[in-house]
Amino acid sequence: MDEIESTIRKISRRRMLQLGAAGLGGMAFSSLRASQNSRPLIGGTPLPDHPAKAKRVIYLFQSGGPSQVDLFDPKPALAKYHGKDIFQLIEQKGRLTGFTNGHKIHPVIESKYQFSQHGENGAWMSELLPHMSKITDEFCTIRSTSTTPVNHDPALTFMQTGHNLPGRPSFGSWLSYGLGSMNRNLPEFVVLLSRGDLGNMQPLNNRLWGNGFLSGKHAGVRFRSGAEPVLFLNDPAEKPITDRRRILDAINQLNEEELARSGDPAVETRIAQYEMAFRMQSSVSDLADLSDEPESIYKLYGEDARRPGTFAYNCLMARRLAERGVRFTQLYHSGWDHHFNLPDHLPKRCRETDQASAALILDLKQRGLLDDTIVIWGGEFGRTTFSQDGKVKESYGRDHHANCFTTLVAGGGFKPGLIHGETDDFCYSVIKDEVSVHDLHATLMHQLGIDHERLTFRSQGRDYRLTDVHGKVIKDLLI
Amino acid sequence: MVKRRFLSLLTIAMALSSRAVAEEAVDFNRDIQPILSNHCYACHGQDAEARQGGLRLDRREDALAGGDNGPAFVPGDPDSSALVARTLSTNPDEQMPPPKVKKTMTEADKQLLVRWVKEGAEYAKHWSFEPIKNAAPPSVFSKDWPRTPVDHFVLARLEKSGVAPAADADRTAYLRRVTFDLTGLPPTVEDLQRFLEDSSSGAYERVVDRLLSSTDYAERMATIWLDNARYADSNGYQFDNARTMWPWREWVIEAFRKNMPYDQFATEQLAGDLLEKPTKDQLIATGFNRNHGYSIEGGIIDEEYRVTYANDKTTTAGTLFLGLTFDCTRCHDHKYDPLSMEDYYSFYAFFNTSAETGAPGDKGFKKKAAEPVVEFDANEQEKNAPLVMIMAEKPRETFILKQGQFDQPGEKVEPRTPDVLPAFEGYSTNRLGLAQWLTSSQNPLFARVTVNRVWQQFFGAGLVRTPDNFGLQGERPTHPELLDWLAADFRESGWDMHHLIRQIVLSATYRQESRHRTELDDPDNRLLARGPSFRLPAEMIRDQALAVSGLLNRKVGGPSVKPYQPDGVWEDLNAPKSHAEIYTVGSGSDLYRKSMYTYWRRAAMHPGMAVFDAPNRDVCVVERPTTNTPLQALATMHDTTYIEAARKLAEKILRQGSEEISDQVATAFQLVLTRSATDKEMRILNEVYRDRLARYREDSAAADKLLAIGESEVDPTFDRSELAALADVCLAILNLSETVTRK
Repeated sequence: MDEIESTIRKISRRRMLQLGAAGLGGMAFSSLRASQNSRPLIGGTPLPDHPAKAKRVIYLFQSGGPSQVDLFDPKPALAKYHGKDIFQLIEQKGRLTGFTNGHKIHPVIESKYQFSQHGENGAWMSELLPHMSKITDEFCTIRSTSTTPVNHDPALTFMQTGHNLPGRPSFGSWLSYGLGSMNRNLPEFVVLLSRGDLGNMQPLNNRLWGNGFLSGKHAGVRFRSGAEPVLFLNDPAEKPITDRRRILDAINQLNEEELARSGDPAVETRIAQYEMAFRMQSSVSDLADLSDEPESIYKLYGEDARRPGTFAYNCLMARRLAERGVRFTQLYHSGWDHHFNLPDHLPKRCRETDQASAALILDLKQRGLLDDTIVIWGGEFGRTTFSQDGKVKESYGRDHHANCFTTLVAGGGFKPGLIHGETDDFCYSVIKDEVSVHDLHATLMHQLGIDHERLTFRSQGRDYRLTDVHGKVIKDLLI
Repeated sequence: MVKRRFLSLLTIAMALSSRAVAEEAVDFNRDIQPILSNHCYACHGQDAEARQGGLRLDRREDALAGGDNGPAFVPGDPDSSALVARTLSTNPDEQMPPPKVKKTMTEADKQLLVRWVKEGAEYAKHWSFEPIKNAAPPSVFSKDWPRTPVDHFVLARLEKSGVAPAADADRTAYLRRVTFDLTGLPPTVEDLQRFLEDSSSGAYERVVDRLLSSTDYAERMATIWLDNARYADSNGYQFDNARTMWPWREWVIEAFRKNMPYDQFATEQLAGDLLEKPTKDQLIATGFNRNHGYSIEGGIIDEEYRVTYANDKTTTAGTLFLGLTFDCTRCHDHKYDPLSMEDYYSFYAFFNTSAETGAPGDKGFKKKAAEPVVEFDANEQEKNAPLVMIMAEKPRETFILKQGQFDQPGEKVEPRTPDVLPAFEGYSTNRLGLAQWLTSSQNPLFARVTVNRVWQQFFGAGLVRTPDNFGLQGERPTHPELLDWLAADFRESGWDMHHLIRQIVLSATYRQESRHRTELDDPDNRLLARGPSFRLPAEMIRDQALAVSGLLNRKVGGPSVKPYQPDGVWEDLNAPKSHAEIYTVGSGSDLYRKSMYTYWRRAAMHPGMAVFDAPNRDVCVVERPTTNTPLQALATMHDTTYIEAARKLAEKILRQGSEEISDQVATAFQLVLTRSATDKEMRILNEVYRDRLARYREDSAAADKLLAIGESEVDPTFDRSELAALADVCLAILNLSETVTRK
C-alpha cells in the first residue's frame, strides 16, 4: 500500500503544480476532499450546520415488519379480550390491508411470549430476545413510531426515502450528498443483505438504496458476501498487483495527454477514480479478511458471524466499516412478515438477529465508537394485535400495522435506556409522543449535524428534502 | 423607525444598481419570474391552501388588489411598495421571505425587484405558455460561418458577447461524434476512409444521410425513448417479476426506421386504440401507457393501485409532451405553476378510463391483471404468442382526489387540458382528442419540449437545461429564439425527425471542436462556443467494445437477452422461492447483442448498465446523469465483457498479419478511437506491450488465465503470449477517458 500511496501523492502533487489552485477548486476529486468535513454550499452555508453528535449510521433494517407486540410492547389487555373483535372495542383508524379488510371480525390475540423487565430502566422485553434484554440500558426504545403505508413496497420505500413512491434518494444517499466521505478507500454508503429461511420473505429492491435524483455517486454500494464483496472488484485474470499498477500507470499517462489536449475536467476526475478503484482492490479485500478478529469476537457475535451472508457476519462487517470511516451502513435482514403461523417464524428471526444486534452495540461501545455512531433497529411497520390467521396461542398470524410500532436507537447522542412513547391497550394507536417516519429522519439528521429543512436538492424545479415538507426533531430522544 | 431604515437601505440599493439600470429594461420572464417563483409563490402563489396573508403574487391583478396588508406594490413607486419594503427589510419579523423558510434573496435579486417595480411592475405570461414565435434567423457579421439557420441564432449571441466560435472539428472527430450520436456506435475504418477521401461538396450531408437511413439510427433513437417511456422487462415494485413488453419496443424501432412523423408517433402511442379500425401495430403502440410498474404484492388494495397507475400515465404524458411537473398537483394546487388540482384531475381523467383493474397479478403476470392485452405475431416460431399489454377504454367517472388519496373523492371533473394552455375545444374528450390537441399548432409545448430533447441528444444538454420542467421553476432557454425557430421548423416540416436532426448535425455550431475554452467563463457551454463533449451513455460504452472487437451481433429486435452478469445480482434480493427470478446467462451470439436488448430488470439492474447511470426506469426519465466513479473503472477493467472484447480485438489485429508491435498497437488505437495515436501515445503503449509480452513469455499460465475469459473461442493460430500482451494493450485502450467520451 505504501507504494501505491506514494504514487498517488506524486500524481496529485504534479497535477497541483500543473493546475494551480484554481484548477483544483474546480475538480470533483473526491479523495482530495475526503479528509475535509465541510461540503459544498447547500442553502447558503456549509454542512454540517451545527456541531454533529454522530458521524455515522448503522441501520439494522428488519424487513417485513417485526411484531412489536410480541417483542417490545407487551399488552396484558390482550389476554383479557382474547378472541374478541377489536373493532367492537376501539374505533378503526387508518387503513387495513387487502388481506384483512374483507374479514368480518378481527379477533384480538394475545402474545404467546413471556415478557419481563430488564436493566435499570426496567424495560419490558420478550423472552425471544435474551441478548438485547441484557442491554436495554444501552438503547432508546421508541414505542411510538408510526408510518402511513400498509403494504411492504410503499412502506419500505417510505422508511428508506421519506416518500412512498419510487424515485427519491435513500437516506444514505442524502448523507453521502450532504456530508461527503470520511475515508479515501471505501464508498460512503454500503449495503449488506441477509435473510432467514425462505418462508414469509419480502424481496428487496435496489432502489431502496438508490440515489433517486441525486448523482449516481451517492447510490448505496452493495457489498456481497464471499470472495468478491464489490462487483468487478477482482481481476478475473488474477494479475499480480505490480502488473496491474503497470497497466494503470500507462492508462494514467495516456489520460494525462488527453487532459492536456481537451482541457476537460472530467478527465481529471477519471484519473482520480481509476486510482480509487485501484486502492479499493486492497482496502475491500482487507475489509473482508476477518483473520484479524480474535475468538472473543465470535463469542460476542455468535458462531454465525463466521459465515458470510448471515446477519451476524454483516453486523461484524458493519463494525469494520464503521472503523474504516464509512458513513452509512445499511443492513437488511428479511423474513419478518408473519401473517401466518407467527410462533413458527418469529423465534427463528430472533435467533438470527438477537445476539449479533446486541454484540454490535457492545462492540462499538468497547471501542469508543458508539458515542458517534447511531445504530437503528427496526422495520417498515408493525403488526396488528388482531389475528389474521389462527386464533390460538400456538398458531396465529398478524397483519401489517402502520399506526404504531417499535424502533430501537442506540448511540450517537440518543438517550440510552430511554423508553419513549406509549400505545393504547390494544397496541393499535400511539397515545403519547408519536414519532413519525419524518420525525425520525429529522432527528437522525439533526444528530449528524444537518438541519433537515436545509439539506435540499432541486429536481424538476422543486427543492426536495428527505423529510418532504414534514418532520420535527424530537429533542426528548436526545441527550 | 423601521420605515426610515428601509428607505435608506433602498437608496443605497438604488445607487448600487444605477449602473445596471443603464442596461436593458427588466424582463419579467427572464429576471423577475424566477425570483418570485423561487422565493414567494410557495406561500403567495396559486395554491390557495398554502396562501399566507391573503396575498397572491403570481398574477398582477391579485398583487395589486393585495392581501391583508394592502397591495403588494404601487407600479412605478418602489418607495411606497410593500413588496420592496419587506424584501429589503432586515427586521426578522418583517423580512420576506421570512428567515424561517430559509430562502434568502440575494442583493442582486432585491435590486431587480426594485427596478421592476420602478419600471411599472409589468407581468408577462410565462414564456413556455406563449405561442411559438417564428422569428427569422438574425443577421450576423461573420456571414461565412453559418451553415444552417441554427448557426445564425448561436452566432448572433456569440457576437453580442464578443466571443468567436471554436474552429471546426477535423473530419475524423466529426465522424466519430456524429456516428455515435446518430447510431450509438463508433465509425468503422472504412467509414472514415470514405469520408476522408470524399472531397466533393455534400460529403457531410452524405454521411448524415447514410447514418439516418441505417437501422442503427432507429435503434439509437429508440434507446432514448425507452428511458422516456420507462420501458422494462419486469413489473417493478417488490417482486419485480418478468413481463413481455418487447413487442412495443419493436414498434418503436420500426417507427424510427420509417421516420414516422412525430405527431403520429405520439398519437399512436397515446391513443392508437381509439383510431378508426386500429391495426394490431397501433394497438401495440399504446403499450406506451402501460410500461409503468405493476405490483403483485399480496394485501394491496386494488383501487389504490389502479389510481397509482393512472397517475403514472398522467405524469409521464405531462413530462414528455408538455414538460410540466404534473406530479406536484396530485395532492395540492401547484406551488409555482398555474396548474390547479382541478387541472390535474381533468388531465388525469383521460387516463383514468383505462380498462385495467389494479389487481395484483399472478407471478407470471399473464392473466387478468395484465388485461387488456393483444397477441403479438412473433416472427419466430414460438409456442405461445406473447401477450402485450395495451390500452382500451372503460368509462369511469373522475373525481378530484383530496390529498391525492384514492379513497377521498371530491368534486367530479371532465377530461380537459390545463386552463393556462390553449382551450381544449372541438376535440373528443378521450385520449385521441388529447393527442390531437397536444400535436395541434395551438399547443406550443409539444414542439418545444420535443426539439429540446433532440437538441440534448446532440449537445449533452437541452437549450432548456431542465428538459423535464418548462414551468416557472424550470430554466429559461439559453437561446429562446432558436428553440422557437426549431420548434416551428419541425412542425412545418410535417414533424419530420430526419429534417430536424439535419438542421442540428449539419450546423457549424455542432461541427465546432470540443476542446474546453478555459478563457471563457462558460464551463457548461451555455454560449455554445465549442463543440459538445460528454461521457458516452452506458449502452454505447459496451456496444463500442463489442463493435470494435467484431463481437457485436447486429440482430434487430426480439425478446431481451441476458449477457454476462456476475452471479447473485438477482438471486440475492431475498425473494422467496415461489417468486424468485433466476438470471441465466445467455449463450452464443446472444451474449453480444446491442445493450438496448439487455434484459432490463427494475429491482436489480444489470450492473454494467447501472454503473454507467442507466436508470432503473421505475419512472419516466428524460435526462441521465453522467457520473464518474471508481466502480466504473472496475467494470471496464474486470468485467468479462471488456476483457473478452479486448482479446477479440487483439485477434482481429493479429489476423491482419503485421508482425511489427508498433503496427499492431497503432491499429488497435485507430480501431477504438478512430484517430491515429500520437508519437507519445505510441511510445507509452509500445512499452506496455513489450512489458506484458516479456511477462507472458516467462509465465505462460498467466496468459492462459487471461485468454480463458469469455465464452468465445481463442484463435489457435496465434502465439498465446503475443495475443495476451496485445489483449492487455487493447483493454488499456478500451479504458481510456477518450474512449468513453464523445467529443
